Amino acid sequence: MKGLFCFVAAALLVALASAETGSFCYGDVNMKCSSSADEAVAIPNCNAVYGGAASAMEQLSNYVNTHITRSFQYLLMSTHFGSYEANRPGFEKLYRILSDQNWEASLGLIKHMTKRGGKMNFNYREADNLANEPAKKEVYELHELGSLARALDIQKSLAEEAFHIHHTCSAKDPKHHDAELTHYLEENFIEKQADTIRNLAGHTSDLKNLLKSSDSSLSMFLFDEYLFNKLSG
Amino acid sequence: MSPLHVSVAVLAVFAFAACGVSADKDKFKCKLRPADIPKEWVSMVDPCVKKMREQVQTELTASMTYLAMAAHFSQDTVNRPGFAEHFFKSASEEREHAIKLIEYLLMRGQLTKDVGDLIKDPRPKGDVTSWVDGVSALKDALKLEASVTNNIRDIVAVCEDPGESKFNDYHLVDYLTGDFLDEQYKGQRELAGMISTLDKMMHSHGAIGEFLFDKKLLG
Repeated sequence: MKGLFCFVAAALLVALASAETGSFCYGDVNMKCSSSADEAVAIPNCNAVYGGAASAMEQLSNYVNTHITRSFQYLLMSTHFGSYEANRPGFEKLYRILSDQNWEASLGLIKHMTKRGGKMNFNYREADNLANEPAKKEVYELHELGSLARALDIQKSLAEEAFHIHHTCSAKDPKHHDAELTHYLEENFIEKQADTIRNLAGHTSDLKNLLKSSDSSLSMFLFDEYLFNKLSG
Repeated sequence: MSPLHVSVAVLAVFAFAACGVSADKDKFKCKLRPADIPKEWVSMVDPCVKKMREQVQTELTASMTYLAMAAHFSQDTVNRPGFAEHFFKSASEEREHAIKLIEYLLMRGQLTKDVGDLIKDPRPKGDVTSWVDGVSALKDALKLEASVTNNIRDIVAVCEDPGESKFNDYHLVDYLTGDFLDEQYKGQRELAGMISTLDKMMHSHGAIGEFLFDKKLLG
């Protein structure tokens, strides 16, 4: 009888403790360190999770996966211009740099997700809004202006996806609001994307004007050389 | 298709056709005349090219596998920044290998067509994205490197003796042996050494052993 009483009292104490501590790491640790601690008890609140970042992890995983896919697509575009038949070292370099930038951005974002207590999910992918029709093969053997148009579309869709995540994290709803994450996105994605988009749009405008002549082979050669020198400097 | 849709479509076709006629002189000359280039210098043979192309995907799969390891060890509840840094570096190195292979193929006059087939959505090997501890990830890494090494040896074998054509690709074989295999063997020795040090401690000093080893990796 006395044993039973003690057991009930202990159970009550534990219940009281967990009710009081709520979702705090200190409460978890106290439980875990008490003499009656069960081996299996975890310390679920001892982590880096706070704010709205946790609710953005799926979107961020998708954003990482998109950057990796785009990085490989740029690598293939760069490869095409590196072949002896196309032979445009400027365009080759332009897309190689974009491939590198997208790769580095995905690494940085994974680091940031884990800084905020998140986990990268390599399988979480939303539908690709830039994909060709499923039956058709993706085309990477583009002419010069076509490749710039493609790059511009890719960069804009990445920028708009950043806006979308930013929007979720700036919601008034405290479950989603996360000032740190919006700041990170602004500094590391949104600002840079504006520069990249403006550069690509500028190149597109220049090239568009050069292509109006009846034979643009010389213009193309000079433009490519300009690109190469600018990107090598 | 509703009547409305049909009429819109018909209108669109007309508009498009009209546009094509009137705007012909403003049309961009986007595609230039292809150059006439002798092909005698393009000497690599198909079986060898095929093997080299496949290796690009193999290197990128290795890259993604390392990226999954890096992401795993970066987590707050795993907290092994040394391991994470090591694997992030490995992921980028494997990507560089894929790019080196592409650059070699371009130098030899390859990759003028079917560029889109070169990379097919690489994912972490076996879709594994978590590991029980550091030593198990290092062991997976060593097995991965051993399989990549075998793949490179296969390319060497095929490119030395590609069957019918009898074209022994000395230069490619030398490049793969001198550059790629050299790096593979050195990398494998490094991983084996890391596993040796860490695995010895894991039995009785697992927690502190892995903690200290991680800080050592961090430099």
